[in-house]
Amino acid sequence: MASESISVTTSDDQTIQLSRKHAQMSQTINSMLEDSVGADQEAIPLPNVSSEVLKKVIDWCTHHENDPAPVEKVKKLNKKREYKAKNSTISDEWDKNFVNAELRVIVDILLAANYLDVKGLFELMCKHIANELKGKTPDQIRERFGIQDDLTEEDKAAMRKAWGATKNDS
Amino acid sequence: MSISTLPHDALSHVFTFLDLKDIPAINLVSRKWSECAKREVLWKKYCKWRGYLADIIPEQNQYSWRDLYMTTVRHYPHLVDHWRWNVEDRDSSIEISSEGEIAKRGNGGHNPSIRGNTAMSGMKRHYYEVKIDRIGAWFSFGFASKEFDASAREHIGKGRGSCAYYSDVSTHRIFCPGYDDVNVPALKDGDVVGILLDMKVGSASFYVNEKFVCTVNNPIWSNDVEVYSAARSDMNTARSSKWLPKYLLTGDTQIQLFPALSVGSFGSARVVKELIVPQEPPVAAPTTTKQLKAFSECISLFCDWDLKETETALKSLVCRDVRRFSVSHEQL
Repeated sequence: MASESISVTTSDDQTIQLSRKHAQMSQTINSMLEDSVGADQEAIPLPNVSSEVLKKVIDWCTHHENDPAPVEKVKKLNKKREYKAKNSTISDEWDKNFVNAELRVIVDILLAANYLDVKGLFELMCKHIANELKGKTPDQIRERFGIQDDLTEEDKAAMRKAWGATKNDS
Repeated sequence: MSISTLPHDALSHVFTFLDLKDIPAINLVSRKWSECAKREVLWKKYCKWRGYLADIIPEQNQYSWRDLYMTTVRHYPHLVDHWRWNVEDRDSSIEISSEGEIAKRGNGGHNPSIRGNTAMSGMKRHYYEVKIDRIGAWFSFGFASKEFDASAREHIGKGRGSCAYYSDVSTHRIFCPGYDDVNVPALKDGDVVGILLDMKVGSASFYVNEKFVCTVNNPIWSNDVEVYSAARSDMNTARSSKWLPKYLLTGDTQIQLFPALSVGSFGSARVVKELIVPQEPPVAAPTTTKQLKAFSECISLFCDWDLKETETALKSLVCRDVRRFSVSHEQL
């Protein structure tokens, strides 16, 4: 039978053990496991995730391991809150602490959560980044996230026209 | 790794947590961000959040949610207004939060009431909602005319010129002068109560958590002379039960109604949204087939017109003359 722990290899060539329960919270790893039923348990390569980030992801999974199954939860929420504005408030205290990190780390975790398909963690990181974006001007956003401005003046003029003058304009 | 490596879908998902006012800035960040900000998932959310077309527009329709949103908002700019509780127009036992969104009662007062700051008038439809943060001893939300006295110790629905959804431990009904009992489901903490007030037809429909509950016809314009005169005393016109047809004929827009709330001890309610849907046609005619389709749906939905007929009427519209547009719709 399948063993209780799974090993994965991260982008910096470290092999990390994690419990099957945590591994299955990632849809990506889960489907890899299902594909390889019966095969020898080799370490699963995760070339897009560093060991530092994976540890963070495992931390989150450990704290949330007893949450209701993500798929059911999402369906239920959709049904109930379909027509409500999405709330970006992070209510869980532990989560608040978790996102209290450097922006670089946050972005890495978001990318990892997206790649590994860990729904709850992905939502949490999206909310946090959305909160970071709120009320900022385009210049401030570019500076904060290190984004290249590749829009021409014409593009910008067209967008300003479409949206009307905004106080966020720089 | 930087945020630039994030796939489009993921970035769009981040944006769904933003308020609409943040979207212009997002558009100006970079090409990729502006592409993501145009994605349907985002606009669908805003359309739904504004409350229009939510249930009715099926997913498979071909026009874009963004077009629909932009078109609608451009034509009905007042859709984006939000109402607030009016700090000047309340019983002193009701406290209002600094932004005017939350009305909260402590233990004092007797049947205290509060009105919203936006008058609803004209031949229009208005949809507005409050969320019950805490139901308190009892809860009564509806609308009231200017004549209703917020400190008169009569709750909304009992007092002159008002109508409301009332709920306490044992009684749950629509209170409306001159109207028989309408029993409705009980309200609880966290429920959202919505009212669609149609000033043209003279009806009020009540919604709980976006589900239709009931419609009351002629709530303020009932044959009850006292109520009628209460709502119309500023006009000093003759008291007559035939007034409603006259109102319809002349399009009298003198009546002003306000969202209104009365609440039991320790209850509180939060403004969610207001949607004013004018019965008047839009200022500019839609120019593309896509817009036309979106528009027909919009109009047929809110005016309860047949979709096909609305679309035909719109198509026959060859100029941007608002009056002609108006006439072709009146004929429907």
